[in-house]
Amino acid sequence: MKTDEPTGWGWLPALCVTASVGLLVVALADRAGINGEPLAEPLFWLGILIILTPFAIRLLTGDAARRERIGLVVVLGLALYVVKYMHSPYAFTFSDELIHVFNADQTLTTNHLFNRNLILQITPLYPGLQSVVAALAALGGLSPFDAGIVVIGAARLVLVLSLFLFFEEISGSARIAGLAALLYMLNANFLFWLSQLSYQTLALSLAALFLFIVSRRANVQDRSHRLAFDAIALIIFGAVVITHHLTTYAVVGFLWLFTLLFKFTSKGEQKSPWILAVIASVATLAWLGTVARLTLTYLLPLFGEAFASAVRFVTGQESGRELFRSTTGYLAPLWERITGIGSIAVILAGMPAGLLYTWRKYRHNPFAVALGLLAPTYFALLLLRFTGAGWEIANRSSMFLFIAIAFVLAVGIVELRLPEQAGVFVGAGASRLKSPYGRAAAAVLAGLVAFAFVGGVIAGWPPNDRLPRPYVVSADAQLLEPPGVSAARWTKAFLGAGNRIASDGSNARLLQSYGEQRAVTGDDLEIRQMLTARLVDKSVIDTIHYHGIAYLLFDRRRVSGDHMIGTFFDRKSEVADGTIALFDPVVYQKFDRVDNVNRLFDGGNIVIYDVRGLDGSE
Amino acid sequence: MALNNRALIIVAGIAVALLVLGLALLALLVVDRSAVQLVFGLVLALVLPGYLITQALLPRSLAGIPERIVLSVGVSLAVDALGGLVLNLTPWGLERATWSLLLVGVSVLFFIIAALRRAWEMPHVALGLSARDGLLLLLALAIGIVALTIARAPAAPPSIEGYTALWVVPSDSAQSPVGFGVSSSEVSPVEYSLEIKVNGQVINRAPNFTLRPGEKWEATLDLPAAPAGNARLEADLYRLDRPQSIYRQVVLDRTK
Repeated sequence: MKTDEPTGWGWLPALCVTASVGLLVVALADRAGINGEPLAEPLFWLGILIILTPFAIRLLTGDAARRERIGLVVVLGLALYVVKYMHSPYAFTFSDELIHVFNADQTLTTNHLFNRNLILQITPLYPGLQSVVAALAALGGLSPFDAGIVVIGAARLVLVLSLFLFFEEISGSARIAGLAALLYMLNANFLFWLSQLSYQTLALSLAALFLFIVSRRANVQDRSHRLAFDAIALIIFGAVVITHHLTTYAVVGFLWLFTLLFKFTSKGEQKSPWILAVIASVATLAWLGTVARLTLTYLLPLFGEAFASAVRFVTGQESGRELFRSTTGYLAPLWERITGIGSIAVILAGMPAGLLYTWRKYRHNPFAVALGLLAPTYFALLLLRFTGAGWEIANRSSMFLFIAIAFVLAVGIVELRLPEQAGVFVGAGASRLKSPYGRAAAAVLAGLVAFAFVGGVIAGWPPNDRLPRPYVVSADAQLLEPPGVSAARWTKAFLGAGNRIASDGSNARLLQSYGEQRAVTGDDLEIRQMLTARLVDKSVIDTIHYHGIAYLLFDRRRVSGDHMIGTFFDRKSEVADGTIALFDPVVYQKFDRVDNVNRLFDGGNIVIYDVRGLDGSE
Repeated sequence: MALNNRALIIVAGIAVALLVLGLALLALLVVDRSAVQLVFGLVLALVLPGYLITQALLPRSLAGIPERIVLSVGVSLAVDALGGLVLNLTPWGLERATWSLLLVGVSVLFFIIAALRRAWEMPHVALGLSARDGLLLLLALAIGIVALTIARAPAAPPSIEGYTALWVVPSDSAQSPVGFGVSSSEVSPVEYSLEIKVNGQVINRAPNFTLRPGEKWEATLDLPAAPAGNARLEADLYRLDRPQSIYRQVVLDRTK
């Protein structure tokens, strides 16, 4: 029987070519970025637009087959993952990645989980990611880096495909599903944050798969079949519980919201997930109470301070954080600020129609109603971006809330028949996307999607971190590593592993990962204050004694305090023009004048001191 | 193909288990770090357990090909995560052999369940790619490889600030030999000289030496007995193209 339903791959093969061309442009941008060329930034954005826009146009149109839409979503999601891989193809360089790759490395070294991580102590208590990386590294003979790249790539595949299937299950429309999966990629963390080796990356992918299974299960009438879904759902949720705290709590929250809404919105054909909500809650509390008690002392102060900061901001006691200004004082250029705010405005503009049609069409679907309720909270939480202590919570919450935003927006776009309506408005006759006007309207909408994507990247990722910096240098047929990595390796070779070494944020991560040292860092421990003091006074000595510090690694470059860009080679141009600013010599030379302190290693900017003999500290 | 004899199914399951275990042992013992091991690791860690669990538990009508793909990978990731917890409780922990046993065991178990439930019929898969599609995909692959090659190329030296590291290895007593080392991560060959001082007096000058990028120089020096309780050993490294200033300096201070 002949049917009008399209079945082929449609544009997918051609769009694979455009995605590859986009990746090629991004690769050229990365090369230019490594050399510090001004062309790098525009090339980067051009490459991103070449990757994204054709996919957006195609997903907006109405004549693509389901398999084509699935292919588009998967290829686009993976292409954007490759953008991150090309950023640092030799080693993990993002701040959190160094923490998690250390955990995986420790698992491979000790053959056990729950090893200590002094820099982020909570991470070993959620060993799901390190377990998976260790499994692949051990079985496949891969390095932790290679295994991590593959695992996060697999997680990306699971994330985008699960979201598609989740949205499709709720809406019954492959078009809405494809569009919603595309719109999820507009969240500020998709390009870089959700591509890094981090426990949240893996947990979010598994959480998306869990949501899909819960939504599919709700439509299964046969009890034994539902039990099968329950079993699979619990395997996946078990992995989420042991992988990441906040993702677990978000999933439990989603589950209870679905359960509650089943009471009020479902017509009875669907099955409530209450049993899963109960089991998930028990599992979450059990893990929290028995293994990960530290989670409370880790998370509560963060949320408490964010709440207090928000109250102070609202009551005028706090002046608030300036948007688009980094902690180092860098203010994003005007076009970036306009795009960042404009992207929020575009998303906000789509919400009324999206919410209206979600209610009209899906008000008896508890999952859709839940997403409709959650979507506006994204905008409420955006206010936290104005507070010093709350912006990170606003930033991180977008990963969860954009599931709701994406669905609501996609429903609005499809139900409003925007591209088709444009065709009618300009007299194209039947509202068919095959008309040039319909295609033009789809292109305009795709432009808005691309605009929102760029705005999201701007809002979520500082400019200095978007393009790679020199990490591996080839000279005289030799590959050279950055100074911090060499220094960290030196500590392991000459001082042995497991020494307590104080350092700035970026070098501490390298000391832990490459030197296997017990690195101590951070404002909380007053290490930064100790390192940047002008004198070796009593407070400095007390800090050293209190933490039992045996060695100090001092990096005189101020950028070393930036976890994201402090680990690279310096460019000659940046040294010449003063972009690489140094601390005052009084600060970085202060230990040179102290008796019984040995200056063991001098790598130029990086100096390692032995302070074990400091005034009775032995 | 549907099997209709339970005993036969169990025997087949055991045979598959032995075959997979044999492959595992082969990968472990014979072809370490080979492509075979890589493929084995990828399949066992990221595909097989999830695929077989899904195959065993979910009826075909409730999970099409995209669902089975995402469940194969996602459930495998979950099994790896939870499996690590299980292995952590054993004395051997998370070793290659224990991972192999666990994941092969899980796979075989669910293979048998799937076989018993006669869940082996696969949905018909029509790839549906035309020759034009194939050519376009090959073109995309070729461009992608070029992009990755460009991205993975190391940075070029002219724009990079290289560095040299000088170190001293502390010894337990003042009389022990002291080790010194220099490593060059400069972007071109550099000629150095090293001067050793005790309490400000030069006691040794190492012969000038040249290091190419990535090369190391190491030496051990016997130091003269220092004045009791007050010895400050200093090593100053000079670049011969900039001899007027100390390039790197390390110090052992034994002031009591």
